[in-house]
Amino acid sequence: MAEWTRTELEEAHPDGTVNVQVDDDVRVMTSAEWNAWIDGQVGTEKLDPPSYIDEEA
Amino acid sequence: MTYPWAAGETLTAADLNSYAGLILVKSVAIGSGVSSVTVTDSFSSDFHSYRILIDSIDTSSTPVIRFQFVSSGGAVFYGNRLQMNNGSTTISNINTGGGGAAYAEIGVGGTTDQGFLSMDVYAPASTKRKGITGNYYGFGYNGNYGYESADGTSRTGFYLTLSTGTFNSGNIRVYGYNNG
Repeated sequence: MAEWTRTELEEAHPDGTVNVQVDDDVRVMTSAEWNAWIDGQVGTEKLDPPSYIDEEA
Repeated sequence: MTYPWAAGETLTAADLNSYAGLILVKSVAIGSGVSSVTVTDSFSSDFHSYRILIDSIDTSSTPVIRFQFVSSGGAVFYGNRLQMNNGSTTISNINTGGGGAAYAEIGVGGTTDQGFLSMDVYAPASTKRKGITGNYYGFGYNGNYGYESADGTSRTGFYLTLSTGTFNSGNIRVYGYNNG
């Protein structure tokens, strides 16, 4: 089972690019929030889509 | 006036309040690069139970979608999630969110708008235990789930997060079941 590493997560979601939404209001996470958010995802499973899936749809 | 109505009868506000079916309570469009979505002021004493539909869920990877009640914490979910890969005949009992966790697992997200889910929410505004049940399809996975929330706090809304990554879009609609 593949898992997400901190490096992969930081590359996919750099600081300053992740938002928090409440109803229709969206704001950028603070650096402290972003660090905690990244920490919470390290080691989570990489769920792969089934091989048949039509990604062109 | 009693259903069924006859031609020429005048419907009053009381009639409509009694017989209207699902009432749209809240509609939220999910933004891009969003790690969490809080939907406030959804549940109240106006309705006993609710229906939540979320369509065209687009996420940065293929994460599990997690559900919590608001306001504040304290809810503990018991239940499970069953899932089948469309290319397989095997059903998995995926229970990582249901053994007393702070959240319930309610679906799987995917890129290219390929996540959809429905949920019935039972008595969220009451001070008794609450229940959620539903179904989902996400990027080739489909499944269903059922949980109880073991708390006595009246809840006014809910909070969605992902096991990994961010939402990029999606449409949330919350409907109240008419109490009659």
